[in-house]
Amino acid sequence: MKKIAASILILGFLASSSGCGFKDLDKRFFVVAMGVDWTGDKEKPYEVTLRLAIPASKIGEGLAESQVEHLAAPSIAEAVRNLKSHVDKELDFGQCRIFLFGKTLIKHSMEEPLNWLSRRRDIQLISYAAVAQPTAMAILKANPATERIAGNAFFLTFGKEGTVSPYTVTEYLFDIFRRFSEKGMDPYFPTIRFDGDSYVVENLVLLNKTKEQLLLNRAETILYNLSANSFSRSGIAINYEGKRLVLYISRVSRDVSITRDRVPTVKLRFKITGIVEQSAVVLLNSKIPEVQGLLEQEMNRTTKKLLIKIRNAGVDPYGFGLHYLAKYFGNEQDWKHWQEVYPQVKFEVSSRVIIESTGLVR
Amino acid sequence: MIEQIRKELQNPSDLFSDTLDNGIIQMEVCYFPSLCDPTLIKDGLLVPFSYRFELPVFNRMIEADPCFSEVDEPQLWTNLLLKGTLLFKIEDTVYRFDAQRKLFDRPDEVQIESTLQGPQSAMTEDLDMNVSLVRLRYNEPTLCVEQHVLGEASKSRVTLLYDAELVNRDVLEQINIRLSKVKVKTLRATGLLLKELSGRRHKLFPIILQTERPDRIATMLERGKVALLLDGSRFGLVLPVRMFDFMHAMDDDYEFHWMSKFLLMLRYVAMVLTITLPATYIAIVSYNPEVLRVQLTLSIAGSRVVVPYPSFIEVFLMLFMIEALIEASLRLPRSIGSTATTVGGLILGQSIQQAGLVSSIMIIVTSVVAISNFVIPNNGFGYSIRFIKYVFVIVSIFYGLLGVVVTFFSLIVYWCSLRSFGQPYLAVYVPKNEAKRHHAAAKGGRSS
Repeated sequence: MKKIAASILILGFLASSSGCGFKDLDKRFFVVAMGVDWTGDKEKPYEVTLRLAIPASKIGEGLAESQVEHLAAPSIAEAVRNLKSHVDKELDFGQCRIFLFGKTLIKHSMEEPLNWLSRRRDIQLISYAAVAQPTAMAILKANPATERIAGNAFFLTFGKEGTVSPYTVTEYLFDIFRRFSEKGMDPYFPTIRFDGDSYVVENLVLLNKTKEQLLLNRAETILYNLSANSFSRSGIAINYEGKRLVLYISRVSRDVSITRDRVPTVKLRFKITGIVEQSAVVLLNSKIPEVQGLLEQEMNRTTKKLLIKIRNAGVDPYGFGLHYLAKYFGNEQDWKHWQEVYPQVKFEVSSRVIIESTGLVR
Repeated sequence: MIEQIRKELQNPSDLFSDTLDNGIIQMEVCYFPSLCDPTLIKDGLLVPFSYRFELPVFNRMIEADPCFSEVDEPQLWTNLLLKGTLLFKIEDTVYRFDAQRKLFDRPDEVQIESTLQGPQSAMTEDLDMNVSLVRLRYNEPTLCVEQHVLGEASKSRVTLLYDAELVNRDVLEQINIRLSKVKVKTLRATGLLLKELSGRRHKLFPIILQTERPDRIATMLERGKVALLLDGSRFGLVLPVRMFDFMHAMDDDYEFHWMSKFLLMLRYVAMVLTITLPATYIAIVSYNPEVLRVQLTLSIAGSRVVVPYPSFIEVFLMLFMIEALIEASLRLPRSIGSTATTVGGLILGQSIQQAGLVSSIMIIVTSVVAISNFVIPNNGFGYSIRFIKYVFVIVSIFYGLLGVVVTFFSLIVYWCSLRSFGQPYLAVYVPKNEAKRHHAAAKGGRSS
């Protein structure tokens, strides 16, 4: 009898000590997307926008109902707390898969938003992050024509389950935290804008540890995705005998090595395998080596140009610095040396292109 | 003789006793007609006694036939009579004649552990029949059959079967100790014996397997296990067993290899589902909605909008309904058995959701739990699983998904700590012929 009483007592204590609160699903408001803008206002510089999904028991045409709430406050935490009083249910960030940062915010500083994100327990580290053009609020208020579930268009765009585009560089929150604190590796964000009926994600913003330094255009973005993330399913295009020839890349592997000279040389090697996707000129097997050579030259030239452009902006999204430190047991001195010589670092790009076939047309 | 017996048995009205006279000698006969087989008495005793009677021939028959024997001790008389023996007295000597009425002369049909293409015969409520059914399938000279009598009032015969060459001696020793400690008034079913032999009553899982299939008993004997048969029960007990034995259906041995392996996996998945699904539902709905994808989360939220009560009340309501339904269909007479399924399954399932008492997802959860539970081939183990899910539900009310995970871990720890007659309950890597291992160990001087 004593045993039973004791165990009931212990259970009672444990029950009252349970962690997060008991709150049913239908008493929560799911934030599916969150945006932060920089207003420039001295009193209330942060404008927080939340997109809240309204649950529906039937899913179908035009039922992607959501509610957008926004509020400006001195800090993000205060804004979110204040927003709670604007809605009737508990805010839940558990399903928030995308965080948008306004163009002005990323030009100002990313420190405060990241600080808030990294402290919150309910923020999922597998969320995507992106830079919103022109503002996060504008993107969140937009209604894509094909969206059936609130926020779904974001998940499909950035995740690999929907569209897989070489222009869309997916950046996860955990990687951002790492890149913002890691030595010799700098963060980047994809940009997102709304063109009237759907979201467009095709550029990349490179940052140093606090704010935007360089915006890559479309061609550079696809090349960055290919050279940094080994993202296949993209293409290389050249002019061949006066006509356009496009190679579809089915596999790509890359290899980086860094020499230990006074000014190190970064050697990048690519092995690209693909098929000819489009060619106005009839391509005979005997001409393939020639085309391969031309493709290799094009790849080497454009990649080197991009690398130098990124180096000159003073950022390192490829993580060459980290690679250098990792390879040569980098201590503080090595790190100082790398920082000094990074503006003069030389690049060598060599690539091997293999044309597997010319498609169904022989 | 008759006077003494009548006095000892308080002069029962169903006792038949008479003095027969065939003109040459007199014979006192005494038996219970309800316990004896009349044709056997007629053919075995009355015909030789009445037609063409010659005393030397009759005496030779009594001497030679194993059904007859002399009973010297008068204190045994009543016991023998109650067992269905006929007693007769010729010239101051009392003889017995075994003429028990056999209620069962053919094997039963399988009712609980049915298979598609396996043997369809099951054990009967007659012990001798059962022993013969087992012997038929395990025809080895090394098969030992030991008789015990348990129960102060019922005096039930219990038979211990094992293969003397394969059996684990430690287990046998333990069984004998526990059998000698069994103290019950009446032993009515193997379930009672199972409880008595298991030791502590609060065990959450059975450590003895109860089966109605003689082929299962034969396979278990072949693996060096011990079987117990009880007179008057159509179930046998097998021990020691592991958790995996409960998940094994006899079909697995008889059917196509890959499919039976797949079905075995399916059973384990079903077991995990039936244990954890209601608890996981509470955890996900009330604590950790971030686990599911946003689409599903929103549709659960949508279906729960009309439900006024917290998730655990919903779960208890539905689990109560389904348990009541199962219990009702078990107790209902067979002729009106389909009423329960119609009322419960069709009408309630539909309208309880329309009335907004539970969400549509909860209906799915309930049906998955109920169906998966009956995938478990052993009824006793299925009962334990049915009970253990409530522990998970209660823990998940307070601790969410973390509680479910920790409780599942504790369940595995509990399984590991269980012993079935000294043998580990959750030993994964045990050779099929597990007894061989014990014998090798015994030869090597180690005790296992």
